[in-house]
Amino acid sequence: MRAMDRLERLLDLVHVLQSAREPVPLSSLEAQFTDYRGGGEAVRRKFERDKAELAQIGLVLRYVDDEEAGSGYLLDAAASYLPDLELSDDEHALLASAARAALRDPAFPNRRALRHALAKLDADEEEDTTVFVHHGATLSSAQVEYVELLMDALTRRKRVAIRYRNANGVESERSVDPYAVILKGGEWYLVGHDHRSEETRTFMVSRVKELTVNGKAPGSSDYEIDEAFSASEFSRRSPLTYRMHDPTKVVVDLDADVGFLGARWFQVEPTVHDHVARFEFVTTNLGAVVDGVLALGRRAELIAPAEGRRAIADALRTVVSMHRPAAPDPDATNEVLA
Amino acid sequence: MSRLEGDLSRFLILVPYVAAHPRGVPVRDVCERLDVDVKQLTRLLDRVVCVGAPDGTPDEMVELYLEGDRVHVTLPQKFVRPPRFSVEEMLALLMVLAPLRSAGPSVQGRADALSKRLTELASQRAENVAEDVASRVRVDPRGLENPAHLRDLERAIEESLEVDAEYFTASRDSFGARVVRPRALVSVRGVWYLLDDEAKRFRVERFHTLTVSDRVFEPASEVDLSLLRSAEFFENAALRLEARVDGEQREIPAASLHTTCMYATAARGQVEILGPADAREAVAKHASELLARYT
Repeated sequence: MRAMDRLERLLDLVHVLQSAREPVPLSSLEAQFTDYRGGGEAVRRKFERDKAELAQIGLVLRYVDDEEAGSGYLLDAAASYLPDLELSDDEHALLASAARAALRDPAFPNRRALRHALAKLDADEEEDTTVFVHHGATLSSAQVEYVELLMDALTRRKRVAIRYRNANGVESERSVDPYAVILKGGEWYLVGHDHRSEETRTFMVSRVKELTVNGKAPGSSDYEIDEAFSASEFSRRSPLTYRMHDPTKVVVDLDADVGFLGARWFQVEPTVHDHVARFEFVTTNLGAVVDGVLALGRRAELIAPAEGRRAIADALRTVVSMHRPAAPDPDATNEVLA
Repeated sequence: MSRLEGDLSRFLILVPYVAAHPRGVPVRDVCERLDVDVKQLTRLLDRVVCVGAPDGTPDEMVELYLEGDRVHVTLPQKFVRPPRFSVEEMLALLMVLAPLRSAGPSVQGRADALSKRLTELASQRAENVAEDVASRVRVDPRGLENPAHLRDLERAIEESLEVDAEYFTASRDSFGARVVRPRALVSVRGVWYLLDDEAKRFRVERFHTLTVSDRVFEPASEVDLSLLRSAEFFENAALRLEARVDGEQREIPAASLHTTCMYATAARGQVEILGPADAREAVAKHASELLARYT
């Protein structure tokens, strides 16, 4: 009998175990599969590896020891296979709308997994005519891959090394234990223990320039997540509370017409005087405040801290110098004069 | 996912799917569903030609084959249902539904119920880690919108009622009262937009006040809501900018010179507007005026 391809052996094993009416002892599998012949620890280990491989894709092999049926292995069909879903047309249509929107968006991570999930659901239904959604975030294809790598690193608790450029354009190398990966307001964030600051820090994936997952000891965890950390609580927080630096007091003036935007963004009520809404609060993410102030143009002014005003002035100087009309070429002028 | 794991998954998805279609399934459809090209599909079919009991007869084998441009299965054996969802599949499904969980109550209720039902279909392995991973890979759809505004707009759309609102128009930098005839809500990268009966877009968070009137309007038939699903939704812009973003030259749509200025200054030097010339000049002027406040 010929040696078997591993894919074929695994599928044959599934077929044999799901077709059996009674538990199949390992000895019977040894008789049927040439690859399991020879007995001993080596065969048992090979079988256990196959069992683990099938568990990876969700198939559950159980050892049963039953007085009447006998002892051996069975495939637990109920635990392994999808039951009939019985989704309503409405539910199918909603899922179809949301899922196809994701597949149209190249910045949606895990597109292959989504395709497989939809294939399992056999979701061919018409889309919902009232639901419209565009997923994703503004990411390059490399950064989409970073999000996928971060999800994998988080699942396996593997440390990541990143090259990160902060809001002021300063680059640094970081070693981070991922605690959560969060999409909020169109931005993906990595939250984790930063070994440089020895604190829980937040990083915008769009500012990650390189990312590698620790490839050593792939089967074992590199870290444990701090029990005090709650991803759901964290994701509900305003980005202004993300820990980027020590707390600093901020004063922002907004034109009163857009004061309602400030109240939602800064999550404090302003004092209003002479058609100016003044917001005073403490932040650990001055960069996000600066972004918000710049996005409101002349309707907003950062009053304090001085460091934030300097950051805005520096940013604006860069923008002005970048967009300033080119100075006339002195040589060209001389030629005309001549 | 390793190649072996990928091939196992594809086989276990493929056989029940094709078995449910007695006349076979076009190769193109199979490739799209499995996210493979024709060469990869053919290689997979070649590798699984003898799946069945190793010491069994041909009628105990899965008969899966390519004939013409269709894939057929005549003997699926007991491969009649696909496996439960893996961790990655479960996460992907929850992520696609997440933006809808911040919608008005009708869509939100359906999205919540569907997410719950799908979670119950995770594999045992996924179930063991799904709670942990799903809680740590989060799509937080809560933007700056007032939830009551989304609720009211959903009702106004369903009943074709005009809305009296105060709105901040960023593209013109103006704030004021207006009457809106709402047609559809669109979630774009976690932010909710409203499309009105003249195909104008409103960012829901920029509504300060919003009151649904009892004035019924006849929806204009020429507004094509299906466009809201396509990339053309983003193409509806007054300006086409040539820009250098992070060193890479691109074309970017913009609603107005004012929004161009906001975009370029907020990017803090990561974006340079190359053209048209008036947009470039407007950015320089806007940034200079703002700079005067800070120096």
